Order: sequence, then C-alpha cells, then structure tokens
Amino acid sequence: MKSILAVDCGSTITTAVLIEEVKGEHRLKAAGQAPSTYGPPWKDITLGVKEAIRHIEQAVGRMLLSPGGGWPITPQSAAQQGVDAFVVVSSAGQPLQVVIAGLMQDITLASARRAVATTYSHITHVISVDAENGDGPQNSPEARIQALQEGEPDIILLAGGTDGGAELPVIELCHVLSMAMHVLANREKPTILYAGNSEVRTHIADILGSLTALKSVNNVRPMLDIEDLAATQVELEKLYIQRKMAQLPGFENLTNWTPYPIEPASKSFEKLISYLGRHNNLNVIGANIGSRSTVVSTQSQGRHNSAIRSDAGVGHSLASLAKVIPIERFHRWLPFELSPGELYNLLLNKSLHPTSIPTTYEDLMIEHAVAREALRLVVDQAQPGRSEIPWHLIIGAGRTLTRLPQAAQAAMVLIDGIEPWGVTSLTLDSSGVGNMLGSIAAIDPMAAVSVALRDAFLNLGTVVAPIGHGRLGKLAMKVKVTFGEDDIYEKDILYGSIERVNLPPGQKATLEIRPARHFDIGLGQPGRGAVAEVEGGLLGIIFDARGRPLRLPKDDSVRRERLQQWLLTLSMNDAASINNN
Amino acid sequence: MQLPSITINSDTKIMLQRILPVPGEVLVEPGQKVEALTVVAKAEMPSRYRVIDVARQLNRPQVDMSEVMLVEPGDEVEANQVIATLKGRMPFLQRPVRAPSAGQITTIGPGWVLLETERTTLEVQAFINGKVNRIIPGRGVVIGATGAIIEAACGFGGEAHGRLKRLVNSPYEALKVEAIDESVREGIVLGGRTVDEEALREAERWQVRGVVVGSIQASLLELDPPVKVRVVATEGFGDVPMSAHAFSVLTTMSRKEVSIRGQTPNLMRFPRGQLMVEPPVIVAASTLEATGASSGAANIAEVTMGTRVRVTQGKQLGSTGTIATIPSEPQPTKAGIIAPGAFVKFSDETRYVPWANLERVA
Repeated sequence: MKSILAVDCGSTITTAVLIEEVKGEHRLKAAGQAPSTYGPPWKDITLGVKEAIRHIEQAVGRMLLSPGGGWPITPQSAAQQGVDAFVVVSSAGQPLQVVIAGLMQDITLASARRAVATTYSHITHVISVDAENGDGPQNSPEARIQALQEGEPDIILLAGGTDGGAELPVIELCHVLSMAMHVLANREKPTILYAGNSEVRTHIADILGSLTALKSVNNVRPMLDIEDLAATQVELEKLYIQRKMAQLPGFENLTNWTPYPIEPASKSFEKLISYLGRHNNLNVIGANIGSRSTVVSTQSQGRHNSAIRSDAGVGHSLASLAKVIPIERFHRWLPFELSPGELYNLLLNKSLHPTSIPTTYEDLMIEHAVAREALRLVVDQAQPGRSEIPWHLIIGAGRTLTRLPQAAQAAMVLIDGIEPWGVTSLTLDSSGVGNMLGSIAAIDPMAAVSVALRDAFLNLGTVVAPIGHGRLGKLAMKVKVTFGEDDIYEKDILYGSIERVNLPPGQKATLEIRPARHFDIGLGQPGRGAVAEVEGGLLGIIFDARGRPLRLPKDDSVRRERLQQWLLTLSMNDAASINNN
Repeated sequence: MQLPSITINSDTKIMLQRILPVPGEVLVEPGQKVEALTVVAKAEMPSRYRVIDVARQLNRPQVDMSEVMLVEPGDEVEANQVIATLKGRMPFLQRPVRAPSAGQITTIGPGWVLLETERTTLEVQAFINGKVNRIIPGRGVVIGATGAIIEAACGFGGEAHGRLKRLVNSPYEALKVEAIDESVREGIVLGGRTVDEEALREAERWQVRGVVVGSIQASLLELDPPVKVRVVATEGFGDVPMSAHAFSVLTTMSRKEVSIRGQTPNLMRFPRGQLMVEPPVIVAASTLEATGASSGAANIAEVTMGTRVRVTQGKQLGSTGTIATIPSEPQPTKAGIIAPGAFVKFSDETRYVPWANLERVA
C-alpha cells in the first residue's frame, strides 16, 4: 500500500497519522490531533476524527476527506487524493463493568482478574466462595444478589473448579446468579461469561441459558498449575467492542468508513510491544499513560503480559485513582511544599476538567506525581515480579509524557514509575503512532516495521542503574565511557545521585561499569563489572545510583530537595525538548 | 475554535429532563403546571430479598418443586405461612417450609425460592416550578420554564429547594458561622468564597436546606457523620472565590425560590449507557413557560473575539474574562507546554490560556 491513514480515538484526544511510501520505504509523513468528540456536547466521534485528518490535509497540502468534509477517500486516486487504507483504533468511552465470581481467591479468581485486566474494564465486585468468614452474612445468597444489583455489571465472569474437579460450589454460585437475573428483571441484564470447570457447562447452560446471554469458554484454570486465559481474553475483548465501543455516538458511521475491524487501542499497543520484544529478542516494557486508563504491556523471556487499569488514568479516572492510592503516595513525589489536603483538592479539580493542561511548574509536577503512581500501580499488576526482570527497552506513550516540554521530565516519570535496573534504553512514542502500529501491521506489516524503526520513537537515552543500597555519598559505581579513541569520560558515581553524560542521538559509545561491592549491575553478582555498547539519545547516558528498589528520603524537606536536584541534573543542557525533535 | 459551554445566565429558557433510573410510571400530563416538589414520575423497586432453601429444609436435595410448592411466583405471603410441604406425608411427621417474613414470591428455582420482602418507591420530583414540556414514556418528563440557571462545578448532598438568602457581601468573603441564624431556617444560603465544617454544622442546626459557595474543601465530602445540608460549589475544590459573574447572577436570585443540585459528577458512577452525569446546578424559575432564547448550554459554539470564557484549571480556576486575541500559532504555557489557545482579558490583566483550560460561558 502506498499510503495509510490511521486514527486513534482516545478518551481526550483523537490522533491521526499519515504514512506514505517514499523511495520504496514507508515513512510517517504527518500527524494531526483534535479533541475527541464522542461525549457531550458533540456526541459524534467522527467530528474529532475529521478534524484531526483536516490538520494532516493542511500539513501535506492534499485532500484526504471526500468533498464537504465527509469520510476518508479510499483508495488513493491518480490525482493523489485519499489514501489506500484507513485504520482506526479506539480507547474512548467507558470501561466494561465486570463482576467476577469464583471459588478460590488465590487461584481461579486471581486468573479471572488477570484475564479481565487485559481489556478496558473495571471490576465492581468480587464474589468468592472462599472469602474470609465464609459463612458470614456477606457470603449469604442475599448479600451476593445485592452485590450484583449494586454492581450493575455489563459482564459477570464466572470461574471456578479445575476441569473434572469441584462441581457443587460452581453450581451453587450459578443458582445465585440465576436468582440475581430474576431480580434484574427490569434492567439491562449482564452477559455471563463462564470460564470454569468445563465438565459442568451443560448444567450451567440449563440453569442460566434461558435467563440471559451466556457464553462458555475454556476454563481459566483447567488444572491447579495451569492457567489458560486466552479464550476469556478474546471473549472479553469482543464484549468490550460490542457493549462499549460500538455504543459510542457516531461509531457506526466510523465503521462504515473502513473495511478493517476497529480494534481497542490497547490491543494494537500490545501487538507492537510483543513484536519489538520477539523480533529483537529483548525484554521490552511499554507504558501508555492515558487520561482514562494506563496500559502496561511487556514482552520478556518469551512471555507476553499486559495490564490495563481503567481506574489509573491521569484525567478522567483521576478521582478513582485517588481512592485506590493514598494521597501521601502522590504527595511524596512533589518537589515543593503543599499540604496533602490542598493536593487532594487539586486532583479532584483536574478530574472535573480532565482535558485541562498544566500551566505552571507546580501543576506539571503534580501531573508527574500522578503519572508515576499510576504507572507503578499498573506495572506491579502487569509484572508482579518486575524487580527480577532487566528491561532492555522502555517505551513511554500517552500525551502525559509526549507533550512534556523537557525530555528529562518524561525520563524521570518512566524511571521512577518502572524502576529499571541494569542497562536500559528509554524511548518515547513522540508522534503518538504507537497505539496504531499493531493494527497497521495487520494490513501492511512492512509499513508498520518501517515506521517503527525510522519515525515512531524518540530515543531519550540509556539508563544505567545498579540494584542494591549503600551509604549516602559513598561510591555506588565507577563508570568509563569511551566515545572514540581519545575521548574518554570517567567518573565515580555516588550512592543517592543521578549523573548524566551527553551522547547525542545516532552516536555510540562503549560503557564500562564497575559497581561497588554492594551493588549489582544485573549480572547476579554484586561488585561484578560489565561492558556494554550503548546508543545515544536526547539525554545521553543517565547513571541512576539511587539504588533499587527505589527509596525516597523520609524527611519532607530532604526529599523535596533531592527530587529537585535529580530533575535538575537530568535537565541540564536539555534544551530539548520533545517538541523540537 | 469550538468550546464546550456552561450556563451562567439570569434570564434564559430552561429545559430540564427529569427521569427515573429504571422504568416506571409518569404521573403528569403534557402542559401541566408543576411545582418544584411535585412528583412527576415514580417506580417501585424491589430492594430486599430472602432466599428460602426449600431442598435443604425438606431434606430433599433433588426435590421436584412442582410437587412441594403451595404458592406461585407473584403470590403475596404472610410471615410464617407454609409455602412448601412434602405431599403424602402426615403433617406431624414433617416440618413444612414457612416464609421467614411477609413478602411476594419472586421466583421459584430448583430447590429454592426467592422472596421479595421489601420494596422501595423511587420518586422523581419536578425540581423546578414550570410546565411539563414533554413526556418520556415510562421514564420521566422534560420540564420547561424561564429563569436563571447556573451550572456549577461540584457539590454533595443531592437536591434541595428553598428561598435563597445572601449572607455575604462579596464573592471573596467566606461564609462565617456567625452569619447563620434562624432567619435562614429551611432556606438556601448564598455564601461567597467557601464554607467550612463548623459553618455547615451550624447550618444543619438551623435546618438550612442548602448552601451555595465558590469552592469547598474535598475533605467535606467525607464528613462523618455526613452533614444534612446540600452544598453546591460554583468553581470547584479548594479555597477559590466565586466568580464575580456567578455571584452577580445569584444575587439577582436572592429572596426567590431556587432549586439546587449538589453532586460531583466525576465521583459518581455513570448511569449505564450514559456518557455523562447531570451537572451540579442552581436554578430559579421566574415564569413557568419556556420562552425566549435558550442559553445554548447543551450546544457547542464558535468562540470569537469578545466571547465570555471561564478558566477551568490552576490558580485562576473560575476566573471569567473575554477573548482578546487568538494567535495563529500555539503558545507555551509557564510550564513549558505548547498548546493552542487564546489571550483572555481578565479584570486585571490579559493572559494566554490554552483552549483546553477554557469553557464558554453562555
């Protein structure tokens, strides 16, 4: 295909990109953004799409929309009007409301949670047979019916029992659901997705089949030590598309503009991260911090994981995030004095106007504090053993990061949110195309690969961070950077500090690291040194000797001073800004 | 550039949709005059159930319910009434199943019975004095009137109706506890900048129905015990003065009957299938007919030089001004973020504000 127009309808902003073939290679030609318009007062998702495309039309000076500002022209005409393909992804709208029900909190319900976490969703209630005080009033059938009434779920995910294992408790839960379906008689009934003991499917269908939409899929836990989430994840994604995406005002029109299915943006992003990890044999983590949700996707050691928290956005869902995370946790990242009460007021104001933009340094630092905590929350969920994995590549996405005036600010959010150790490359999806590349790859893999390699990402630099802790001001590691034959930089990096060395984008250097005896650079042996070839970036090489896991000073004024110092060190000579690159 | 709007207007056409959260019955007719407290629609909602485990009580795990049940779905039963029994057995040789309390049989399942023991009646009031403009069958009505309306930012407590009394002289003045006395009993109080817990407790003591201020501390949302006074804040959370424009419109409503809705949309669960929650609002109807021009709050409109706008972010939250110039290129904010916007003329200065931080005042 010679030209592809792709659009990402986000909860706040709609981004459009134009990819064109130039001298046999696909390149990102232009990008345009406009406010998303699925909600009031516009209530038509296509208005924002057209506006974003119009920005591209102005930038490239050719017509992409049919006369009168209609739909995208496809295929591209001989007169250079339109494009060969039009692709759409979306994360706009509300998440699926899900109630999960099952037998054991730590086994089947844990698997059910992981399955739900891969779709834009919100778990409103958990019904568990083995809940604490198993015979208490909260576990009575009446209490469970009440929970289902209050939860107003779109979906009930019922899991429980290994294949061929316990039947009776699952059937009893099923009876409770059947009672609840009668109670919900005058409301829209949820779809029940059964992903439990496969041998009682017929029985389940007999009980629930006539009462509501019922779908059975493979058991999420066919055996105690085997987890199989794929079928449940696929079905949840379908239900999200049907029950949420397709209900967005104007969505039907949008589907008529393209022959390709409209995917959730998170799915497309996951495909990108998975591809980059597998193709390059790297441990890759992608973090997309959005207004309504944060998506973390990882590919490491041959495994793919991802988690979406629809209550961990920095705008639309900020009020929910403030309920999940204590205010002190946001507060600890502020480099200036502000009472927790005032901070809470400001967070709630931001959630009243989620599309608003920070206008002062203080506003910006508050947004970064929120982004750090949202990221930490979702990284923990996507990769519970994250401290065991040395990430080779971090990809940051979402406007919270990409619109920042300084690359150092985006880098600090990513480093503090993910806490990489060893030697890690930091990149930013500065053009906003990251969410679309997975879907573009489905119709033209070479175009997606070419854009991913050449245009999509802004290389921020390389982070070098040892695991371990020492005494403040004492040696954490000795580093030697060889830029060329006679150009060598050597320095002792002290515990508690961050240092930075310039290495412009496109240049390479040899890095020798000799950690002190309490520190491990990722070789599994404290004190053992390493040599690595590193590539440059906007910030060059960042030596982060604050230790892992990260510990912030407890004293408020000391902590504030350090936060300022760390950012200042990283920002020095960072004229740079993401917008100029 | 198009911006979303909020309405702060002393004389406009008001159209309010009043609907039940579940299907029910509409109690008024099109064209009917209603008062704020008139119930316009109601629905019966089962609110409490008991599950009766018939199989266990009869000690018959595989019981055929059609063989044992003495009642049917829809039947009303008394407390202790026998509802199931093993047929063909001598009465003194078995313990029949009795209803644990009075109620209605909702459904009979395999081995169990669901008994509805309590119903709740949901009622929707007109909220404003006006005329029924349109019926939404089975769900509610649209009420029309002409008068003042101020869309606010946040609040809590729900809806209230009463006579508005101004207790401050300026939008910068906080509502003080000393100002609250018997003269505001069962009324709505117009405060200025903000209100604290002490003043709210005093208002509660005098049975004040509502308080309207510029801003509230977020901590007031979590008072324990909650205060029984409805509160609406026009600007947001914190310690922010009420905008002069909102204060002057509210001052024109002084001594009139007003209706307020105290809630914070982003802290409420979205009704399923809806994209928004009704905003907090202060309304006063002057005539019962919806006449004149609508403020157009529900629409979007092109913003041009001279358009009145309100700031929705940062230290200037709530400030209103007019568009002075619209630069062709996006400008940087003090935080360094480059964003499209406009130079806005405020009472004391002209400043660049991103479009994302503005809303049009209709």
